[in-house]
Amino acid sequence: MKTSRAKSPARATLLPKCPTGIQGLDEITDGGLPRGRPTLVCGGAGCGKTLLAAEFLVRGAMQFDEPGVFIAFEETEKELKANVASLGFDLAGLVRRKKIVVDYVHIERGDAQESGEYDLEGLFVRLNHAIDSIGAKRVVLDTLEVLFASLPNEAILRSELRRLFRWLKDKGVTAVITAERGRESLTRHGLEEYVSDCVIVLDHRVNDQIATRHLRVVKYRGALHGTNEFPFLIGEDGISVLPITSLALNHVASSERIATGIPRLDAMLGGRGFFRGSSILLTGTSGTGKTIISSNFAQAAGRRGERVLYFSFEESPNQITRNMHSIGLRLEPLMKRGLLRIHSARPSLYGLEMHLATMFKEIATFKPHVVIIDPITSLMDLGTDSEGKGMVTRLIDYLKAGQITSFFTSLTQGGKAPQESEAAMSSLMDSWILLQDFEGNGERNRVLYVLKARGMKHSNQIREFLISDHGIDVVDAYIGASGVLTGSARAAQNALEKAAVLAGQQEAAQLVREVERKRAALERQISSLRADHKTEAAELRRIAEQVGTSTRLLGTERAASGILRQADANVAAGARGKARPGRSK
Amino acid sequence: MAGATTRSRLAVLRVRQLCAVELKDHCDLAVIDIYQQPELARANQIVATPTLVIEFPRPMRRFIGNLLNTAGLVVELDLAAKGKIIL
Repeated sequence: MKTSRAKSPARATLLPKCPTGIQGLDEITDGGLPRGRPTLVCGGAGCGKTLLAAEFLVRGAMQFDEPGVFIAFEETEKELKANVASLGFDLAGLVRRKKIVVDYVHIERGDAQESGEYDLEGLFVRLNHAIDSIGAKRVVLDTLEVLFASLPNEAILRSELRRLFRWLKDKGVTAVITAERGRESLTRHGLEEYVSDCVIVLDHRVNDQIATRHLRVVKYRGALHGTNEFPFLIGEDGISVLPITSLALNHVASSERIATGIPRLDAMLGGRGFFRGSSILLTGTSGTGKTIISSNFAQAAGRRGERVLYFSFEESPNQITRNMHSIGLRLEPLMKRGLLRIHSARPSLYGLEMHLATMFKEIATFKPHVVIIDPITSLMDLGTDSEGKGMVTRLIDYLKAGQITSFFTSLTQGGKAPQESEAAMSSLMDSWILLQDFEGNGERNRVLYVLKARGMKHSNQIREFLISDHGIDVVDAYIGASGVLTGSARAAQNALEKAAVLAGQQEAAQLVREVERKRAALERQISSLRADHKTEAAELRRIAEQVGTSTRLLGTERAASGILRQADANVAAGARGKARPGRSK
Repeated sequence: MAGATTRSRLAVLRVRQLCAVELKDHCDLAVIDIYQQPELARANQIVATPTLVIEFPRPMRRFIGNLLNTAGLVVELDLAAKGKIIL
């Protein structure tokens, strides 16, 4: 981040820069302070001028092999060593190893009387001697303005200061000159008129009882630089300036997917869950189950063997594990295996910047795969909207650069449309899951839907999500003519539908039975008809036989009687079998 | 003093005169050129040149400049009360 910037040919023609090694400052100034030129650092009391200057020198000596000279006008060498030791800098050791020379210049007003013309050759000689004794490349003058208080003749002083800055440039050292902030000008004694190459203003402001330090590069001759005000911290490892907007937006986007721990939610996200390294926002009003879903996500990641860092701003680690236990989610084993770390802190513990710095530090030491922040809104309430957004941007940039999946929960205020209230954050988020309460029928039910999921096919459906002893269950909400139904209404609707189906089934069975009955009846009828027919046919046969017999009998009788009567005319007809009794009569 | 400038020479001249005439040489005067001995500039907390440091009698006092104006010096050395102002 600090020195890894590749030098492109175009940059070589630009002003040579001297990296400060101070986290973030080199990014803002695109490489550091102007090499071989003086830089003015001004600010009010307690804003960190001396520390910035000291860090510039110490890091120069330690990281860039550039020895330095510290001309202290305000603090003795001993005081200075003690002060920077609190930042973890071993100034005493560097002085011993001849990497740094500290020269305490002490002059008091009552101490010296003016008795004629003079110059500041004494200071020049001391500076020159100190620089030459260790081959210094960097010089700090802290705070030169003390001279104005102790030396009476301002005209001489000003001309000598002009000469001093000229001399520093000629000497080729990169100098940092600190100065007290003036009321109307940048510095109380107008030093900015001598130092024209680079001016940095530090500022310490209290906003809502929380103090934040800011840094701004007012002027940087001949170079591009960030002109915004950047918050900075004085932490255990020195100063870190936090550029709100990282200049580059070029992190690698992984196409690996990670499961959420809720299969149905994975299904809603194109079947495979979130992208690794993406930023996920989970919004919902209170009690919608944000912590539960985040814990589920944490558990799923832990089970894959990934490290999860959980920042909680509402509950203690113990409370979270107890609560999750109640729904059958066991986080303790993961914590014991070192896969899950819960970092709890009250939001009001310290300012936004300090929180951010703490989080950065935790992330840097734990090296998690997944970071959960529950809820991010607690943090954002600490600053103004833009500060909060800036913080989230920085955090996401930082996490994305490290391919760390970030999972933010956000508590939305009731009554406001959630999409509206999160407008500040939404553009930074890759995926956005919304949790909502549906109130009706004397109950509240939770629903969940995917509001956005960059780069993946995702469900547009509202799903009801249930929390039971066994964890989370995502079920289809009833969507019908009467809208979306959840909870008991959904159950009632389901029952109604079931009843309707049952009734239909019964009706169908009834119909089947009826048809069957009709068929049976028909068959019975057919068989009775058949029986009738049989009887009739038998009757018919019997009659026919009877007729035949009687005819035959008649024929024989006739023949007999013919024989008797000697009649032979009808013998032939009678022999054909057709009785013609009428004619025969 | 820093180098043999006119200003330095004038200061040295004035202080020698003072020592000889007023103090009747009851004093030790060391003239140091910080160009030659830069480490002494640091040791004696010299910022402006020329500087006259009166180490004894205590307290230590400093006079910066070429000593053209010795009014302060005269007061400091308690010469005025004795009516010995000649410079």
